[in-house]
Amino acid sequence: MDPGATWQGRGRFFFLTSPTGVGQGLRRWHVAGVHTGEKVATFDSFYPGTNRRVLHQMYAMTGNLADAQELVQEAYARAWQRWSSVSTFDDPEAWVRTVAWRLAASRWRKTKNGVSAMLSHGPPEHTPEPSIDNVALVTALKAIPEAQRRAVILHHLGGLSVAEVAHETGSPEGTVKARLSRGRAALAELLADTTLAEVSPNA
Amino acid sequence: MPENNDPVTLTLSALRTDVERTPLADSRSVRRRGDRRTRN
Repeated sequence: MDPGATWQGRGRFFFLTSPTGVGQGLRRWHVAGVHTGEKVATFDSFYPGTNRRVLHQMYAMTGNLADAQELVQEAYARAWQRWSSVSTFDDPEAWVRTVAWRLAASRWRKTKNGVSAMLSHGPPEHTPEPSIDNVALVTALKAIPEAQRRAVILHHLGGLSVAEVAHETGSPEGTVKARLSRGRAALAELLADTTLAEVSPNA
Repeated sequence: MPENNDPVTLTLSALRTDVERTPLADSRSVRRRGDRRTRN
């Protein structure tokens, strides 16, 4: 891979761009069997190009910057372990996001896992506190049911369509629409902002 | 896909200010972490 190449795009639409032109989409980038240096290069391009988006979504999901930071880094470390196959998926970012989500759910169920990860990898790097402006929003997000929160975050932050949210969460589209509608209404009520509940979800 | 000016999308986007202030490990550190896990 051209060392100057970078990942550009959003969601599943990633392209490698380089001074020599636009490369193949990630879905066609078969890393398996290629030189280790190339494997490293594709990961080193993918990670910084996507990690802030995943962090944003995990922050919204957990309401805790330190937890989100740890979950994101763990999910990407697991992606690296399997990069030869993960890099050939249609949407590697979705794979990382799903892993981070599952880790979060697992840690909620078994708090000791979070403690053991902390012991294994040390405390997270310095993590800023949520800004005062965001405290109410973080609190409201944590107050709505997990399934609704996940649907709202995937649709409104991840930019996924209703069908894509349904696919990623393994739920029927009708269920996703109901979760989005209820999630919006709950957020509107918690934030005392009626504009949040006015627009119905777009497919 | 939601519109960029959808009120919920705009509201959630406000979290970006915190996200951008949060440090993340560099790519090499993440790869090392994955490699350590593989060896173990």
